[in-house]
Amino acid sequence: MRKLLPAGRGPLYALSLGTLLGALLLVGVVCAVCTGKYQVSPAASLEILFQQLLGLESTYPEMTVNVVMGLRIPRIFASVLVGAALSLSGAAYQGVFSNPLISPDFLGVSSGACIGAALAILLGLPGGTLQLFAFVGGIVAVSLTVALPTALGNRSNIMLVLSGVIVGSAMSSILGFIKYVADPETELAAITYWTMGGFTYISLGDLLPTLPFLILPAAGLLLLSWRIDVLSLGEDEARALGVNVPVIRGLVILCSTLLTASSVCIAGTISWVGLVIPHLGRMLVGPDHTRLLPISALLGGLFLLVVDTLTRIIGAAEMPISILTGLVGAPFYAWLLWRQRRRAL
Amino acid sequence: MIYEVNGLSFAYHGGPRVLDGVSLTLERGEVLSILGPNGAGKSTLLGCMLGMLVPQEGSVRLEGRDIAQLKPRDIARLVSYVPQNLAPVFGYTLFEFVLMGRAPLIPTLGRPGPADRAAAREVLEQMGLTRLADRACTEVSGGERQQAAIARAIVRQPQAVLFDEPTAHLDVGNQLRTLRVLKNLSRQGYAVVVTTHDPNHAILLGGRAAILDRAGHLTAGPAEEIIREDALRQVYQADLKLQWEPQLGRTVCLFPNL
Repeated sequence: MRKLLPAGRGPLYALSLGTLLGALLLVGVVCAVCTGKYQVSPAASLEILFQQLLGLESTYPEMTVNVVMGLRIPRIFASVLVGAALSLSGAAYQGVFSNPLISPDFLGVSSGACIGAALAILLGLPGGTLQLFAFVGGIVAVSLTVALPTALGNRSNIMLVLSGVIVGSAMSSILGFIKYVADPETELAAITYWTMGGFTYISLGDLLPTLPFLILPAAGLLLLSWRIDVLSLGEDEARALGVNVPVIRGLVILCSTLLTASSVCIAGTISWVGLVIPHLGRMLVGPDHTRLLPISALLGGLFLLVVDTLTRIIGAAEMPISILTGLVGAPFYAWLLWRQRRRAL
Repeated sequence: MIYEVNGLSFAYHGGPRVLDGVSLTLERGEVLSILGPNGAGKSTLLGCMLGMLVPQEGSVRLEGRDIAQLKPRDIARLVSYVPQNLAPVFGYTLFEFVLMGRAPLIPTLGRPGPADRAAAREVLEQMGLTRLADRACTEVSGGERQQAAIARAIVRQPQAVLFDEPTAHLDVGNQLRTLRVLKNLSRQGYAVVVTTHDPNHAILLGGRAAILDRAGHLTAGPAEEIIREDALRQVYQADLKLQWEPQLGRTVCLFPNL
């Protein structure tokens, strides 16, 4: 009997690749803990980590323990989570809109989430509402981006991208206005610091309350992954295949927006990851979302971990992370458009 | 009786009626070819028969039940649809592409199981596509993709299959191969509805035919009674000629000189 799945795309291949990426991620985490301007050996890093986890008294200087536990571990944890979340939501958005040219930032979701959070700061609302406002901002932005092509009667792939550009620009202007009216001494500083992004000042205390808003939508997307395959055939075909398109598409958009908004809450806007990584995943395991989503999450986590570690070690001062993601993402997008010309995605 | 369409009228957003009092029936193993000029409303009629468009008047009954009361999943279990223009964005393998035809039988949060995979393999073999099973659907020819779409339509063994101009983007050889497959489907017991521009396709398929004119009226009946020279000339506004071809043992539709 002839094998019906090519060796490069079979479930066993995806499982092996997933295991390999998981192992690489683990190695990456260990390397990242020991990497930085303050030298800590791998053995010392691991020992500090175990001592802290087991509640033992540390045998290392307080400074070393603080660098590992207070700075590096939360930062590494955050970069892996945000990379995975942005890649997962990017792959899901691309699937559900049958459009490989979009990403959370291209749909305006990231800037919408930024506005929501900035508004919460401007209104002086407590920290917990920031997440909610970011989510609502993201949902409003993605709804506008999707509604515009429908209203104009042109639902092509490029039109959705242009619509995202329009909504994104409008969101940037609104953010500018919020900054303009914000109190320069208190609110403006908080908003600017917050929208600047990056993982520099992240702490485990900031990170832990966000975890459920990352884990639950990620689990939702993984559960719906095969339905995303069917939806990616297009609205009419999915409907003819018995899919309740508004409900399933709505659920996927909700989960993806929640993932993006949570990422924005942790690290601000980090561009390109949600676009580039799903394509890389598709090259490795094909477009089947049951394999693509977990592989994209692993690849995204690994990618942002490496990029964030590089920003820590390149140059005298720390480099903003979007410079590096942009250096990878922009040429990749140009290549993607060239490939789209040949319709071979 | 699989389909019973009664007095169906449909207009888009308060515009003129695209369908006006359309009635038709469809039994198991029957082929119904719907002829009509561009923009006559053939795809709209299929949309109503699939429950995707809601008519302003009339009803569509599927296996005796009003289609407006059925969920998309229940309709999809009974009826498959092969759209006119297949342009997949992502390069799923033909196996994955065909497997998606099982979607109405799989729970919302579920994934295809061994039985679904076995059914997809069987249909690919039946359609002679096994050698292409691991090729991306974006890389195969238009004819092969059309065959895969038909495989996807029958992999869940529905009662009826609706084809929207299945030969529209195919060369003559692939048009003939597709028509043969449609004929075979009706022999296997599927009710087949085909919209087409070409009277010769309706003649080749035999069975029943219907003509949908620009006013949205549908005339249905046995193909040899419906496909008449005067009716074709009127509906296509062209000087078409029907001629008995003794060697072929059937009538052919001829175009006039330019």
